[in-house]
Amino acid sequence: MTGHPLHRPLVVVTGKGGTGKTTVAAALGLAAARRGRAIVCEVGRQQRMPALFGRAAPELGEELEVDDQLWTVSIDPQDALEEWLSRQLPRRLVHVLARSGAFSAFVHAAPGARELVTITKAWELAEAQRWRRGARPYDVVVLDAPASGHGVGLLRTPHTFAEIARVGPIASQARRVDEALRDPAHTACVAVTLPGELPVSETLELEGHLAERLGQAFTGIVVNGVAPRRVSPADAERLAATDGDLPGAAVHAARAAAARTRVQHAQVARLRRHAHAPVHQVPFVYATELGLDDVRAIAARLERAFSHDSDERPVGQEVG
Amino acid sequence: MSVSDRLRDKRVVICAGSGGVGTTPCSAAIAMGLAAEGKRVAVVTIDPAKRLANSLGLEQLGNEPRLVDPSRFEGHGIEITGELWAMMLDPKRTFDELIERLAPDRATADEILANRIYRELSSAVAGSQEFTAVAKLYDLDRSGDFDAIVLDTPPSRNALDFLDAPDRLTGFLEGRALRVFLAPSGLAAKVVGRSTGVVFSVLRRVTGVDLMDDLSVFFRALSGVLEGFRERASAVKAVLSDPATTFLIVTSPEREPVEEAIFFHGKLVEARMPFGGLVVNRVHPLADDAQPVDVAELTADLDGDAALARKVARTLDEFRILAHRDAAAIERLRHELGEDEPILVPHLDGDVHDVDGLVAVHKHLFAEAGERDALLAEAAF
Repeated sequence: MTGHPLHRPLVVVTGKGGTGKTTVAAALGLAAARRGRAIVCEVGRQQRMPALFGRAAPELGEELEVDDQLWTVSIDPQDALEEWLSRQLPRRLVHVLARSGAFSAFVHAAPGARELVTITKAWELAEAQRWRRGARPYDVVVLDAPASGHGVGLLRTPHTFAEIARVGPIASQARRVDEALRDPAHTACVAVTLPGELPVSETLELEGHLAERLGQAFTGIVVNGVAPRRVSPADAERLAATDGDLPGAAVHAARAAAARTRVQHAQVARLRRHAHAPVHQVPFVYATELGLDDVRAIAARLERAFSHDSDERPVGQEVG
Repeated sequence: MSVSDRLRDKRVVICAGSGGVGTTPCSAAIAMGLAAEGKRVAVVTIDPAKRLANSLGLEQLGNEPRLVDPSRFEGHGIEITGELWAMMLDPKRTFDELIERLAPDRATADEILANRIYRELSSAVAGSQEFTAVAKLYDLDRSGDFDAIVLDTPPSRNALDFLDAPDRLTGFLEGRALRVFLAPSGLAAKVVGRSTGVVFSVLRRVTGVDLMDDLSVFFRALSGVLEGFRERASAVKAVLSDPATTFLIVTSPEREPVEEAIFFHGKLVEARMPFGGLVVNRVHPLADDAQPVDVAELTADLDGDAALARKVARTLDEFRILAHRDAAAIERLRHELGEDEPILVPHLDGDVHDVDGLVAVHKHLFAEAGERDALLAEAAF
């Protein structure tokens, strides 16, 4: 389902390591915060969001406000699990379980249990009825999904657990999350990739898996780090023909840029040809370190692109 | 020191790096280089770029290495005097096979393989990909068929998953934690000082009866293979710390892979596993005499084409930003890893997944120090 991912309460950002997934998740969080209460969730003990906003990392599991209407959290499975248990059982029994260590042992031993708790917690952040009394729900939850070889693994976990457990509170909880993840009106999936042959192939494969195993579709595919189309092959040839007159580094740079641009744009074109979802490009940022201003610029760019897809006026910016 | 010197007398080479830094082409190029030295080499990879698989003639997943036809390299500037074998590992099948081999009889094997929980989870078991990769490595090493085996680590988020995969997997299969309360009078009773019954019934309440029953069937079936599995896991672990094994850490100069490489190196040292060297891939080398670009001069050289001169100047400036970033990253890696001579492979603009691409990566990896400096200078900005 195309349209604007930020119209859904849950936005899952997937992609392999090194694609700039966290940056895109942060940018989507910033864009979402122009619309309402938004939170960016990191997983697997990762805490890169606070640093981007010049803040010290809080405890795992603690929701930290980093910008106007924008929060961030690094989901802690143990913490989330205890919260969930406290909704299922009388306090006394939660203590029995927590103190016996049996449940946490269960979570460590059962493969996928951590993932189940993580995705369930992300889902919970947008629920009207939060687990913790008095906690306010978020309008948009952006999940920076773990970079794994099997991109849909995390999203499939609730289904797997619902199947395995069949009955009982885990099964019914897992089923609710599974339904939300499969519902295009509830969950938007955004892929982040790079303009290279391998990442493009993997993204196309992932799009297939998402449809096949979850019945979902990408709301958009973000191609990160695209080199500017500046030096044409003709320019590069002309420079090469001046042989000797120009500094070698200049010729080398022009030739490298032309070659890189050619490969990258061919891959973006291939992605556009084969992908069902709309493809949006984010230009390469030539800097040692990506700063908050760079991420805000990416946020504005994505807001424009997605608004264009859904035929609406971008939020929070002047349209020229 | 070239890669060739570093790998002398090594039987097992593990190329470890976080996803997306190019470990697969590096592993393939290293295997190719060793085969060009006359060795019988096997390269084991999981989920590589299909192009790479095709260029090596691997059309499908398999559980046994296949000989790469040496004619594939003819006319590409490299001669394979030894033998290059390659395999693309199918983790699920390797795991099933392991269970079959370790089970005391066919019936036990079938019971496990048919178990609902095993079927749902065996491909997802934390670290199972990593474990099957090392298990395969162990088999190939033991077979004595190869002078060297190069393992491309699975594209996991964290190269570290790899080091403790045997332990984690044994832990899971032993189901220690679970059996504590699956048994009628388990440890849980002693820990909480009350009957296991209470803990167990609470657990049942939360998880649902079926899950607990299925789990208990699963672990009972598994108990038959546990002993064999434990032995296998410790043998596999021993391979990782063998003196004839070496870990090459592969990274790109980008911030996250660099942090990951430093972290992984620390863990290697801590686990007393042999660190064999650092490969920094996709480097933008900085020219020794990098002068600021004089646009006026450039314009004159281009017969007055100021627009093109500005484009070129800006492009060069941008590459120099990357070159400075990379130089800083390499300096940091040198310092943190205590590695004076990392092997730098420049960012190659073509396709690194075909034979020519592999040959290009190989040239940088196997060059002698002086030659490598010259190659880097050619690629400098």
